[in-house]
Amino acid sequence: MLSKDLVAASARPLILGILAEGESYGYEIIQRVKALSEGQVEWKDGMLYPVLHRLEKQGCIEAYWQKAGGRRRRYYRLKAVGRQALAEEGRQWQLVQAMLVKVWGDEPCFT
Amino acid sequence: MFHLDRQIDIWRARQSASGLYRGEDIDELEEHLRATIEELQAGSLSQEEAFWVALHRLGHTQLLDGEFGHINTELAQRRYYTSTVAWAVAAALGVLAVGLLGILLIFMENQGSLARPALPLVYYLFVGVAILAAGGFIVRALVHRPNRSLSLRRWLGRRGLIG
Repeated sequence: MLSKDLVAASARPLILGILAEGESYGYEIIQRVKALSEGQVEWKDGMLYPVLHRLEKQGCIEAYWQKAGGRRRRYYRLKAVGRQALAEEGRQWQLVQAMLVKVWGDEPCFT
Repeated sequence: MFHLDRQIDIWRARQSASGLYRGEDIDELEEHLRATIEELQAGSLSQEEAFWVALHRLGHTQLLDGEFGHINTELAQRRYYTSTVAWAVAAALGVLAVGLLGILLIFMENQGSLARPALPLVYYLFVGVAILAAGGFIVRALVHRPNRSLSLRRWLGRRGLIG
């Protein structure tokens, strides 16, 4: 299971990445995270929304309400600023990954 | 008998009472809650079981309050200052009530007449302590305000109260 710190750090790039696939809403994003992590990442569902709202305030994404299945849903879509932020996040995470691979090797053994 | 809509209304009221959520925040959380309940009911859970599991998945109220308080800073500050003023008023009224009781006791001790030198002394003493008590709460609120990066000057400026 991923540590809390890593979950918090990866939430932003993960959400931006999911929204880069297409517009979505909270419940669907959570389902996508669960599928991607194969149950290895545990989010409290409600914690997703403050991250989404923060991204909205930063201008990375925009939200709109739409009726679906008789209920109103708040959909989110990525904006140009969000795409730039995602690219920057990607560069930073690739750098971290490259550093770790150099230290640990391609097939790390910690025992 | 379990009534889902009634339980959701109770949940909504509890979330709203914290003063940390915008109306649409709660609407969005409710939509998530209902979607999770539907998913769980499609499995093997009853409506009541699904409601409680969905609520657990959504996260503890205190946890959500904390996170939404960080996002809705204006609401968090309003709640903080409102509670501070309420406590300041309560402290001042408490001290004044004790003061009035003191004056009443002096009045009764002197069999219906208040000893002249005692009245201003007691009165000013308790009014002074009441002002100090109320002031203490307000100073505490200014020092420990939730978002310290937002200064009081800027907060007042945003509302056009100062230039």
